[in-house]
Amino acid sequence: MARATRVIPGLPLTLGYTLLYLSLLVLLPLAALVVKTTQLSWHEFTATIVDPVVVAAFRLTLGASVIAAAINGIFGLIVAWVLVREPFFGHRFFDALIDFPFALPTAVAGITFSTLYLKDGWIGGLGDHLVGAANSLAARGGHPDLVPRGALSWLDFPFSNTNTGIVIVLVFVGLPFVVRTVQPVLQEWDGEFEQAAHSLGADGWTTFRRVIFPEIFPAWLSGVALAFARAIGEYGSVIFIASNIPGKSQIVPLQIVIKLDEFRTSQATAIGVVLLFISLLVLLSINGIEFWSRHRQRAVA
Amino acid sequence: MSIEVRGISKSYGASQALKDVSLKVKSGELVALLGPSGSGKTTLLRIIAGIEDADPGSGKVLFDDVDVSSTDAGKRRIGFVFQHYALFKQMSVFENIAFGLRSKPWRERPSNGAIRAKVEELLTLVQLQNFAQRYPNQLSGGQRQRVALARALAVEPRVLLLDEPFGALDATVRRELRRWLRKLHDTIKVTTIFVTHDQEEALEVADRIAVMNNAKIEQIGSPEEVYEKPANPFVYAFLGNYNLFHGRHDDTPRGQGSGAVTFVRPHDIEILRENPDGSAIAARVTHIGFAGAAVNVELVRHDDQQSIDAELSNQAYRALSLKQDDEVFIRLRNSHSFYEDYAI
Repeated sequence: MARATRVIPGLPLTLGYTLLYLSLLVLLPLAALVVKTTQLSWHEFTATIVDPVVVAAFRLTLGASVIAAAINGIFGLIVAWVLVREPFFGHRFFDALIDFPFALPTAVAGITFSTLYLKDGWIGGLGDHLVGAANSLAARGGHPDLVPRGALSWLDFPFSNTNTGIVIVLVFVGLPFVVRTVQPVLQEWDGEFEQAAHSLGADGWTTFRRVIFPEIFPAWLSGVALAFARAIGEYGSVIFIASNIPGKSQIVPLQIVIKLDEFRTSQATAIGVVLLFISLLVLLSINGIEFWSRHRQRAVA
Repeated sequence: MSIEVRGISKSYGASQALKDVSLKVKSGELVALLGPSGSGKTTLLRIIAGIEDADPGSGKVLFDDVDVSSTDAGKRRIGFVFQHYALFKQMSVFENIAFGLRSKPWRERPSNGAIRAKVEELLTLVQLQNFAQRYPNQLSGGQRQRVALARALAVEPRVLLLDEPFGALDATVRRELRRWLRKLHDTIKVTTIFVTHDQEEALEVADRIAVMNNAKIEQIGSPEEVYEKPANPFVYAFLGNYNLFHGRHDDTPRGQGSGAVTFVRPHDIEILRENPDGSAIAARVTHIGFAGAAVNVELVRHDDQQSIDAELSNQAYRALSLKQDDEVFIRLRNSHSFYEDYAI
């Protein structure tokens, strides 16, 4: 066997550096979080967690994240497919656009979406805006109100009092993950597999379901997991569009901020630990599924 | 089922892959499309399969005298085997073979029991009974190719199309597998067309060979025909090693066609110690290469310094007791002359 040659010299040094780096950046803060939480008694801990306002926040964050990840899973796959397989005029421009949510500061995204979708936003108050515009035109011509106020309110699309706006923002910030993980797999895809399936009489849907999707599944799943993880932690963009009513439309990160504002640091870390635990669980189970699907083909009968 | 290709052309942008190609394959025949890479043989096969379309309005593909040109590949009832197998990696051997049956519309789909029986029958046919639950990456190249063949046969195709079926295998497995393919064809008797660039493979396996070059079929015939009576220098040159002489060297008088070229296979060159009737050509041995059953001798002609390859049997070589730099005479046992100035 060939002797392994090292590309980077001084392995003990680089190895030590890597371990130290990861410990300082990842392990230590996580440990500190857990230690801080232990300052609470078990009773205080559970009291913090089962507080209806906190429970509602968890329900909202997890629910909205699951919905956003699912939407991204489906539409991200479609976007990746179209960009790779059906190149249209200007597809490079749209391809570059996919990375936009990565680059855009989340607060900017939040403000943008609020301007559009809240009650007084362009889309959120579309009907009322149209009525207003028509009436001001009429007023210029010397007519009184031409259209009664609220006549087109059914065109309004406001998210100020619902949590749909949160999901929309989370879909936006999570969009690149699925697209960017699935794209390379589709680009590497050999058309012969489809031709083989086709020549055996399989229709397009069967070919996708049984031949193509199993192949992109691991990449797709990790894209969905990343989008989900990002959605759970998303703060900046959501607080602008959510109405942030306690027990109704507050997300978990906002709960942590509120606890900190009230100088209840331990309670804040307690919520943080639970969130951390959930993220870890998701990460582990996704990795498990990925491992299983990658190695299934190697299992010896 | 018989296959007929009538006047098919195909171009990719500026380059033409097929120029007005016609071919008839009788029911139950095993035909090889033989040619160098870029000769259009794979394109022809893919057009017969329906994986690719011929140029609009250029010609027809007929199965049993029925025009299938506009029939979808999935509906032509063909079995296509790809050079790189194209086995579905996420499926076991069993599921790969069952794929075609499971993909049928539910009205025609056999029961699970029937599928199981069919797959087991095919596994026996390709001698992979114990591999049903393996995955493609646990198999050798030859085994994968046999799975691909079984998968294609599962839908009971009317015609079997194989694209360089043994191209990715090593020499020993190739030889074994092509004999096996011949036997398999004799058992199931389904019309088969296979593409190859290996003349030995085509000569050994096929009932008839279509030699292709430059988007055209140069000659169609039995292996003996194309080998013994090549239609043109290309066919002669493609089917084996050769020596090329300018002018004529066979039984007709010399000097008849100055534009003629003569081809001789190395094993048709006889080496003599003497020059009994004065008709042999004087030459010098420059190199002797031992190649197992045969001995390759390189010579240089005295008159025009042209180098000549000869192939002797071991026995003949020993009888002559040839050594390097020996002065000998050569005679052409069998040669082919062509008149036109062909560029090869």
